Amino acid sequence: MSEVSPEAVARAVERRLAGRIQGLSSQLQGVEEQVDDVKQTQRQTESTLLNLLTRFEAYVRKDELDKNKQLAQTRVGEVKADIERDFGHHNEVRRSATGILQAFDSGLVSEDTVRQITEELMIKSPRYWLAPALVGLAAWTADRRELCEQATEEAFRRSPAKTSLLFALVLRRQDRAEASVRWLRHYLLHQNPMALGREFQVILECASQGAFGPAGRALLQETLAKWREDLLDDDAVRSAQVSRWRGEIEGLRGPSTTAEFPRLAESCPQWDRLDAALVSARVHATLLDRFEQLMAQPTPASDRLEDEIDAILDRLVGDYDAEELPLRRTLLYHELVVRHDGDEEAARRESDLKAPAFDETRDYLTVQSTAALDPASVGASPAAQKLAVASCHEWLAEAHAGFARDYRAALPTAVDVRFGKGGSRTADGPGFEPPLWTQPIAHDLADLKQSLRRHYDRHIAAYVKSLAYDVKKQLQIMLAVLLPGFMVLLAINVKFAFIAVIFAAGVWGVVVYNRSETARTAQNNAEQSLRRRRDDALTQLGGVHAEWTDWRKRYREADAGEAHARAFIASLATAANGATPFDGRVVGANGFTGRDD
Amino acid sequence: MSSGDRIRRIVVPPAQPTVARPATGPAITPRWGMQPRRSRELLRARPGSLLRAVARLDAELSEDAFREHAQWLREQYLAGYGAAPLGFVARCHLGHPYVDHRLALDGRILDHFAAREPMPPPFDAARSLARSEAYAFIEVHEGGLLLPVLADGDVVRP
Repeated sequence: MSEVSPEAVARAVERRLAGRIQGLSSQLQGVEEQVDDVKQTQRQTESTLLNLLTRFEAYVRKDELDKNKQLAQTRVGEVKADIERDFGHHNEVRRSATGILQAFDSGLVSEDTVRQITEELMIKSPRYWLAPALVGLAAWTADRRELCEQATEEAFRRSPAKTSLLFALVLRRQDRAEASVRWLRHYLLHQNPMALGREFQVILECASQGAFGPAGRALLQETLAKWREDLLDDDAVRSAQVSRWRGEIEGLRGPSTTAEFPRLAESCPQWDRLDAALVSARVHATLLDRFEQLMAQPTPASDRLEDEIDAILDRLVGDYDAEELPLRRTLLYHELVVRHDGDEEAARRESDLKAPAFDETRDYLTVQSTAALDPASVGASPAAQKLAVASCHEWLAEAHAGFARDYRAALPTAVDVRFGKGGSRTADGPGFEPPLWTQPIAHDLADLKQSLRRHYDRHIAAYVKSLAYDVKKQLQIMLAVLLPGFMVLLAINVKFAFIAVIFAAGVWGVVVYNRSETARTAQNNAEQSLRRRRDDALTQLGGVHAEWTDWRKRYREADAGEAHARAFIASLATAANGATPFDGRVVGANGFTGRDD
Repeated sequence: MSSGDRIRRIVVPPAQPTVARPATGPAITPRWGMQPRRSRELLRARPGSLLRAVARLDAELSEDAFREHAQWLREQYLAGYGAAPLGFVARCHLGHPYVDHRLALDGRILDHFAAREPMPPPFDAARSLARSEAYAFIEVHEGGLLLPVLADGDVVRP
């Protein structure tokens, strides 16, 4: 039997092991591939799921929005139906009211017709204040006292403020001054000066148009004065008004005056504060112009007083009633949901922004300030604006006094003029500039000029001297160099030594001379140039001083305007008592003449 | 001019030495705000008698009269407005070089100042206002409150 060598066994084992390892490695690779496949599949599944989720969420969101929109559309219809059902006849009442009032004026419509229409309106509008008010008016024309009183009481119960105002206006038109003022008193008693409704602007209009006669105006002024006094006790309310007027006054500032005082602006370190003070002081004249013009402008009387009063009555009877506001607000919200394609969040935001317009109330001072400063935003007539400005005189005065105090306090107590390096507000010019020279601008001009001239001369002299070429030093150097050379050459060749030294000294001397001459020319040029600069500075100083004198004159003049403006503002206190265009005018004798209630 | 040339009358030495400051820029920020409860009384118009009394303070020649006058003014303020100012800053009528002066209501100091001469705080904050012809004088109150008083006695509200 043949013998097996250990090497052969080892090789065989090695081969088998290698085969196994290779197989194992192939298997591992296969497993890895499978794991990768699983991972890939998992990723695809995740992605598909995510996509599905996104689409699902979008679907849910869209479904939600669609449902919101559909619901809102339905609610819009419902709320409109509710408004129509509950308040549909309000519009009819509003339309009829002005017509009935005009019928009173003309006397062309029979009492029966008016009574019939108003009673119909009363039945159709069970909660609306205007319907019983119209019944009361119709009963008045028919001389049915009991019905008139009942209807009036009912209207007053439904809306004391609006009923009072309506009767005050109507009775005023019929020349029933005493009764009119009585109703006006009722109206004012039912007002909260901290939360006045939109219709209060109407009252201001009436007062400014003289609609209530002298007694009515006195009552109104007394009430308004009391409100003003009460509100002005509240520091927060008062300071809010003063701030508003202060803002108005500051808005009248004109442009900077730098172009008027270019030299002063250039050479005065306190120019910014001077400029601000003059710009502010000039506000007095602008303020005076603006408000004098406003108060002096004629307020032309309308050809037909009735039209003016009707316009005020139109506004009184044409507004949505407080009762309608919740439904109107709901309607607005649902309409906005529809407009935003079901996005309730966006609709709520916009609704919140718009809602205050429905039931906005403002305190009396704000009503007056707004009518005075921004009449267009509240529809105030020029006459009402004038009245409002007059009413605001107290805080206009306070804002004006504070404004004047602040710009005066900001004036610098010391004003300087300066020249030299860094003295100009613009960049320094090229070349030499003397060090900074600063002096009080109020000093005598001759003294200032003398001081500035000395300052320039001193520094010009030093600068010119620094340009000089030192001939003596150059000669010493020449001697120090040539003498040793001469001694060395002398030992070699005496003749050559003399010739060489004379030649070198000659050349060197010419160079030194030339340089010395160049330096002297440069000195002369520099001196002339710097003297010109000095003279320019002196001329500029003269200009600055003249402009300072001019500035003081103009500031004094402008600042003196404060007293005129203050006197004018104080005179506004009595401006409210002036004649108004419709004072004492009433409906013509051909109109209705009912009995006094 | 040097501060030694200044007209100064010290009835009683000041309680604390004052620190000279540069003339430009207020020593403290003027405080226009005030407590509401103080405002009502303190902001009422000053009567002509008070305005004249403040003006006379500058003209008193004897130190005793000056101190007595200042004490009277102080009492008037306390009785009428609930608080007395630390003093007043007003335009000076002595002529060049003086432009303004301060009157301390504790009866201690009457100082006249040239334009660039520093005024001690808190009075210095009132100098720009005092130089305006619109105001009779400027009251300087505790805490730096400045109340300009117009020639007709009206007080500019803070």
